[in-house]
Amino acid sequence: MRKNNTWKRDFQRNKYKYLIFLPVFTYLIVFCYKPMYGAVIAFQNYRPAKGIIGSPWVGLKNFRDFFNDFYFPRILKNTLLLSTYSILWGFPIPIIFALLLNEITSTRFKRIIQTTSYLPHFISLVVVCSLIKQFAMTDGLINDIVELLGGERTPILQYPGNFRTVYVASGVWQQFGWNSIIYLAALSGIDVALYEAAQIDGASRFQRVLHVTLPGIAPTIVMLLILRVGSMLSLGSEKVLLLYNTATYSTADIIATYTYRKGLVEANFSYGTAVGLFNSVVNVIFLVLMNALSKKISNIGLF
Amino acid sequence: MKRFVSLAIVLAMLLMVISVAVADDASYKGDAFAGYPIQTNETLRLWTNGLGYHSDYISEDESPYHQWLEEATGVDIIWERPAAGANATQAYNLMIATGDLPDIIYKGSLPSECETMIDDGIFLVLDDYMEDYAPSLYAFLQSDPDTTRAVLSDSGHYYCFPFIRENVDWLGRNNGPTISMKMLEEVGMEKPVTIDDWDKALHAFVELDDCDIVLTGTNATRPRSAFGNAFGFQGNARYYVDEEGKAATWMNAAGYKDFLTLMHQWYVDGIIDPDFATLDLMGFVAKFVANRCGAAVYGSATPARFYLQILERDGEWEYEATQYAVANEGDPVLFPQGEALWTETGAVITTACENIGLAMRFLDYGYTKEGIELWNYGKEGESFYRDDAGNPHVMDSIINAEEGTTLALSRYTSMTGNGISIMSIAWNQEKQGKLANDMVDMWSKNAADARLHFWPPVCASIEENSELSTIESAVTTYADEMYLNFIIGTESLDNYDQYLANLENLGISRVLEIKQVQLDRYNARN
Amino acid sequence: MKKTTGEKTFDVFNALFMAFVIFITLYPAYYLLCASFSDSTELLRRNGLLWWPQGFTTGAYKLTFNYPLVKTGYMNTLFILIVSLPLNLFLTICCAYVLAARNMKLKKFIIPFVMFTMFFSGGLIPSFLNVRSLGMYNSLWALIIPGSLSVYNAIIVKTAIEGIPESLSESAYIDGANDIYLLARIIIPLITPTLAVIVLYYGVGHWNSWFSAVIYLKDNTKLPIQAVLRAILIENQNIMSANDMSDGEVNRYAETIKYALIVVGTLPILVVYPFLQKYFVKGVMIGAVKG
Repeated sequence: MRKNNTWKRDFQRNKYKYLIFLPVFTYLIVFCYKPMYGAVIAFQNYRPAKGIIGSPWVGLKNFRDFFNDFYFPRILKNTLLLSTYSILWGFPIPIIFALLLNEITSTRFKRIIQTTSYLPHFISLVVVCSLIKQFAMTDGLINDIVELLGGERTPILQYPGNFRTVYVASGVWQQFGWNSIIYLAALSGIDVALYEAAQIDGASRFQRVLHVTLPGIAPTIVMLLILRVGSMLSLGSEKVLLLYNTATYSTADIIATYTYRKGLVEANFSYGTAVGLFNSVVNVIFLVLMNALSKKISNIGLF
Repeated sequence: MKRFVSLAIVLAMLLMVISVAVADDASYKGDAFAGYPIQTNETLRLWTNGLGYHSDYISEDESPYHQWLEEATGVDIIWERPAAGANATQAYNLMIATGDLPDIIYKGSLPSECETMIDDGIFLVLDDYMEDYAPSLYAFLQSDPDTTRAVLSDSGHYYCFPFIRENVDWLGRNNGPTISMKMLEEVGMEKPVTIDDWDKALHAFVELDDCDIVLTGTNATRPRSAFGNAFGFQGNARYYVDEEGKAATWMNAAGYKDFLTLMHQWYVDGIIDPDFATLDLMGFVAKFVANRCGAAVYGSATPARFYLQILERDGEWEYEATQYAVANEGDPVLFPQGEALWTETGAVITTACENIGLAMRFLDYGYTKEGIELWNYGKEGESFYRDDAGNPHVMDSIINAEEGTTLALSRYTSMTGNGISIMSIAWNQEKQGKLANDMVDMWSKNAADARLHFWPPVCASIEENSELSTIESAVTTYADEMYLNFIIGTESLDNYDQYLANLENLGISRVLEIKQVQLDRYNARN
Repeated sequence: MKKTTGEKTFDVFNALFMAFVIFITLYPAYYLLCASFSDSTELLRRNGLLWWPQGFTTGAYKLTFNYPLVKTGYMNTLFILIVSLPLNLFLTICCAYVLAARNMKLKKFIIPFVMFTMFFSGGLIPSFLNVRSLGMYNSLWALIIPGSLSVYNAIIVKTAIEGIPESLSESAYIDGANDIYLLARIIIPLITPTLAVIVLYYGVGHWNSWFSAVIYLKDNTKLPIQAVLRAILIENQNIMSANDMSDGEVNRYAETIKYALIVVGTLPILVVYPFLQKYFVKGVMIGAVKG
């Protein structure tokens, strides 16, 4: 009896919320959940001609092939490391940049900086990588600078040790401006009164940043960080394919590129789907863990 | 009422008879066939990602050669293709998955899926129709048993209308070593023939002041492709047929260690371009233009990209192709770069086709004398002219077109890539130009027996693919990595035996076993 | 309010740093611009920094705009944007509002229901068959409706909504407002900066998309602009790889066209961005809640 009451009350109170959710619900059912059955091809030996109903079942074979592959540990490690370094460097820099930009007083200067800072985001990956390859040659620009600083010329992209640096550094350069936009938006939402109050209390600029600005954008930061960690294994193959070569496989070969090369031999849908499922499951685990961790530390979480 | 019913029944029967008559391919069969252009109102749906039209045109309706083909055969074709820029394999799989099959599909990589596609009921088996409905292709295949073996399925079925190169020994050769004749003069040497000649010549080049890079190529595998032959293995393709007729691979070939030893020596001595591991085509072109190179391994089409710049820079074009290096003077060249008898591209008829006779006659046109001319040269008076002996020649206005020969040709023929016909060697030589022709001639020198050693278009069964997919990636990743590690020196050649042992553990023997089974099946086809 | 010496030094270094930022981000774009106006053969020779075009030519651009599909490409993309953005905003705000709701019993079900779709999908073929079965094959609607809700963006908006004090919604309820009024009249105006950002995200996403286009569209005249530009690039590269040795007159712009395509593909966004920018520089006053 009690139970019925609480449900009724909930519906009374929240009926408009449920109404608002209805279009979203419909969309997700029709476009996300309806085709979801396709995930089963990870457990089959799928052939487009036979369709899902007609393709033979192989159980966990695709997963076993993936985990037992000689290179599984290496590609997993490379994917995790590359992702982690990208986050370690690529996550804070847009924030710091947004904070520094916020301190610029001249609006005109501010606008110019902001506009140019996201230009690299729009340069296509193919062009960026071909430029990197050109500059990284033994007689290229980067080596020119190295020589100027007293170093020796080397074929940079040939050394596994250089790969992660080149990958992460170019990624930071390309994305920091674009990624800072959301923080700038968050900054603009901080109540001006809070700044004034802090000033009255005698806070220096640095203290204002520490006690007003950062807490003001903390929810944004935490949310984006959790989401970023929740896509750890989803490192795409495009950039790595453009930058790596067989000499750098030991650090550059990631899950996506290894699977891509495998798929070149024969279009193995099932294997690719199985790998994708594995990636998704691990990503979810990371997200949940990160969320829990964040709530414990800062009391802010995604959910 | 009774009269009505019987009338209806008679009408229905009449309709049935008529529809059967319409579907009856008797008018296309054997001698009953009235010749081209075919008198018909029926259309055929053809799905392909190739056979493209020039970008000036919005669709095939504006494209000259598509129109000429439909005119000459008399059949209206509904061209279906994936959107511009789509991934062909993906688009193909999506099309198959939807179950909406066209009448004809033109694509590549046919052997790898032909058995399963026939079993799954997608590709039509043509055995019963070949002689009656595709006499030109049938006659051609009868005259060339080697090519026939290449285009049949493993179970011996005819299933496609293949793209054939008239002289695959020559037309399939498009990559190899070149060297600077001027520098050879400077060091007082002849064009190298044996691998020792190369060794001496390249070492001499190192001493030259104005030689910036001694040996380079369009990617890291080029040295293996160019010099594998001298050590008794095929370096250009992953698998090949060795001198005993067995499936083999460079990854553990007998001469591979000696090859690596020499390459490592060359790398240490500064002969091999230090950036060779990271090179790709455009990187190579930039390097070649910016630095004076002694020798390079590239394709017959590559010089077009920098011919003019080199002329400007040096005042002359000093590079000439050499034959593939051999171990001893007089040895035949067995393992150059080259193509197997069939490029695995062709047109298949699907089981959804209702008018098989029409489809077969349409496709067979490309193998008639007129068809070969149309597919290669186009239409007389519009894209080619005839000389006094009656032979066709590409018009000068096309060869000298401002947009470039290849682009201009692509309006009038699909053979700048491939087609449902036989590529004419005369046509190819005419449009390719002297420089490229000379290069291919050199690379084909002494290589008459090479055709026996290319990995043929084998078919794979589902179980084989399944097993291979489990082990092959690891084996190839390891071998590709070690190839560079040995040459650069990251891995010492003292550990070569360990390398072989590792390959064993990864399963290379099993891979070769499977390949051997596939090769045996191929050889047994007839 | 005077600045300390420390603060003044900081300002100087900050300004210098920003100047450096401008250089490292602006120069590569400038390089591209120069390269797009250069002659391929001249460009090949130059192996370093560019300060002006090598052998000035507008050839690459002419080649691009001569391609018959470029005009239809722009039109299609414009159509997609005009129709999609309102739909995107609508779905995203609805989703975010519900995700941010407090005191809702079904929330325990709704959150995993929504989040699950961010990680798991049916894959290419089932999604393709699904869209086809809905009659959207070869229609621009296949580029508009599927994918019109990005859960990632919804989470961003949800966080923004959660940043609004609960007291605001409480007082609105007391005044007799329902959720729809609250959402439309009070919440949305307060999260305009965030909404501006996701309009940017969705907009750029639509602008850059080509993958769905090449899968779902058959007619090349329906392709959006990025798909067209991609096709141009691929075609030019393919021509280069065919067997050909005419007297050097191979496609002269095959190299530089890459750069021209980027300029052509990006310029419209750069033109539109400043209009969006003012939404998140202006700032919002949350003075509505007093003590």
